[in-house]
Amino acid sequence: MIKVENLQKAYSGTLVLDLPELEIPQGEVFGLVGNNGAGKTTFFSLILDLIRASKGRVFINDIPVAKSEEWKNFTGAYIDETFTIGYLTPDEYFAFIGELRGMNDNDVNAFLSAFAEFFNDEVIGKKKYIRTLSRGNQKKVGVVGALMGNPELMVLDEPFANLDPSSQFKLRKIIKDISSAQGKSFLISSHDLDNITDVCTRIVILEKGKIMKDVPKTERTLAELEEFFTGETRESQFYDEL
Amino acid sequence: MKRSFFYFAWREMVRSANLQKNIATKGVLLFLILYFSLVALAMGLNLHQYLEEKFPDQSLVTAFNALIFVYIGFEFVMRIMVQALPTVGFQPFLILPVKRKRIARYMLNKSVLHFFNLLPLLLLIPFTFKAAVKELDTTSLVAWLVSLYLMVLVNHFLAIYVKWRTNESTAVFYGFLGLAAGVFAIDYFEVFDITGTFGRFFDLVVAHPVLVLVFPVLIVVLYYLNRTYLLNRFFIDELSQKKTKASTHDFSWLHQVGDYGKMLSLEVKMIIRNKRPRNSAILSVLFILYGLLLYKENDGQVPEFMYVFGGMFMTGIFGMTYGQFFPAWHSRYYSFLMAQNVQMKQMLQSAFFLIAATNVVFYLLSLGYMFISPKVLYIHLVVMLYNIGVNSFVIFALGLTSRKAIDLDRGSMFNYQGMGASQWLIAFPILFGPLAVYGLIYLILGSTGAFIVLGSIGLVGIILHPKLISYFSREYRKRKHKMLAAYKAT
Repeated sequence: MIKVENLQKAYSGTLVLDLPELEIPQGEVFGLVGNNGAGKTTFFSLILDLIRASKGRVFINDIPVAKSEEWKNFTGAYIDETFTIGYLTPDEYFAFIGELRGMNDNDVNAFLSAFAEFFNDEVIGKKKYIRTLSRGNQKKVGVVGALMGNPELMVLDEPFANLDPSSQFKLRKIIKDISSAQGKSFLISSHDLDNITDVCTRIVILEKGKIMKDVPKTERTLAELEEFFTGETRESQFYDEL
Repeated sequence: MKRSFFYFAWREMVRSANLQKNIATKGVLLFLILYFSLVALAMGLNLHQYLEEKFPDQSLVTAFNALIFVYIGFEFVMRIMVQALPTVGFQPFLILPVKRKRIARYMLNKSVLHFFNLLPLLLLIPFTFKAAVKELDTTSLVAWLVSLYLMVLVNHFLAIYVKWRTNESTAVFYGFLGLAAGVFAIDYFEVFDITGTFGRFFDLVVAHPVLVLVFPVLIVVLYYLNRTYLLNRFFIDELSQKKTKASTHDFSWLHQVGDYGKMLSLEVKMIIRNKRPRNSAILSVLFILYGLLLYKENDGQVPEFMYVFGGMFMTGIFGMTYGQFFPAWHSRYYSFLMAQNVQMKQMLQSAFFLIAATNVVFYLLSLGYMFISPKVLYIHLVVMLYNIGVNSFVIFALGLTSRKAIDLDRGSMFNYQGMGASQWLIAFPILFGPLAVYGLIYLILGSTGAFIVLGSIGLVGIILHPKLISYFSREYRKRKHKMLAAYKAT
């Protein structure tokens, strides 16, 4: 699905991302964790060709993203609030993306009805512009917008941030459902280790632009991640092993 | 602690994104300030001569007083349009142990430091020395001068209060508009001589200097009105913009124009629902009246050159105001557009359609001037063709250098946010390009030839537009990363 070759991004001489090689196969839910400034958003922006790579290339389905615009047909993304349009209502925003993705009104309505629970009656059919919604609801709009039109690849930067606990739980379920039922690929970053270990099938830890760890998810992944970020081994594991 | 508030204000000003405007913008602002200062100064120095000629049998001070209302009224309108409300930047202080009264007082005091409160002095002081000193004794002179300046401050606090109220509700806004029109009408149709009465009050101040005390009282009253208003609304959700229900007109009929129709309907929503582009659009519509000023002289016996100029403005004004910030209008969600399933070409096509369509509409509207001169029919036509066929692409070319994000929610009057050199420069090729072409060909081929050439160049551009749009979409894609990075940074 995604192939990264020798990718580097430097700002005024400082290397902020350095990925010699990375491949993300179809159907993988790829989780990216790392402290602030680790290069997560930089990596996602490079995949979406929003910033120019200092070196190297990114391919989505063998299409070089910097050369062609074709990858847009099957890629959905939500990086930050610049991915929503403040002066539209959520309904109009979804209709707009629907049009761009070749969906008719019925398709859009059918698609949105699956998210009724996630939206909790606060988003659809309300005559409110997106700019007046709460942060959490804005995020919901953006994330659902990224899932529209049956894309093969969905790139979500911190989709769980700003969401309330039940919405986080619902979003986890949504992502898992889409990936397992339809074999779609996800790229997700998060600071919440619990959420990310739950939804992802592979986890990569990024630090100062470099990959520190790249593991498929196992029972121990959450504990490993916590160890990595806190620098402490949990007492309980000692008992677990006994 | 008192000092620290101004310390914050200073930091806010020095470090604001606005001050990082480029040299061109600073230059123009400085120019405007200097210009108005010089105008005021020149008026102050020469006013006594003008008044002497106009009202030879009156005292100069009385004649001057009779004009005060006109000045104050004009100033009031300017203040309502241009002066910013002192609201920004108080939010972080709300939860700190600072009394709200102090914040309110500070905000109001700070608002006094404004160019508008300085400008009248430039007019007043020279006039005082040239004329008033000779007519008035010291007590009257001081009382008169103080009362005039305090009147400016009364205007200041009144304007702030009215602006706050009108910002809050549309009903009050229209009520105020009606009231202002009423006052103007009463004065204009001489139902009641407001200007004269207003002036005579200042005559009274000269006669009885004690009356100057009226002004401090007025200022205190207005100050407290403002302060009460602020104190009652010291909540972040109440001092901000008025709340309106979202209008959801969908413009889906625009989709019929082709696969760029969806971009076009987004474009139209962007213009209608946001303050800044809406202001620009309304201004363009009003510009259709420019011809009344331009063509009216000598019953249409103006040189053809003027019709080229006027046609340029009236048909192309929307293209200019919109094109000035193309594509920065979409800067706040440019990354979304770049990652979504929109081709760059569709964006340019929709912009081109918008510019072309408004040109045609404004051309049809401008045909009203055929009553002044039938020449308008063909002169405006060739100019319109040129606008569509050439100037649209000049706009696209200059848009390639767009590097500043636009805040859609602020009004457009004297708003220099997002202005860069190219936004200032855009006027030159767009306005003077066709004038230069016209002038040159006119010298060689005469008037008819010039119009034929002007129209033909436009037609060629229109015929070639698919090719030109493809070319520009490649260029925009090449500069996409730079634009994205720059929009993020501003």
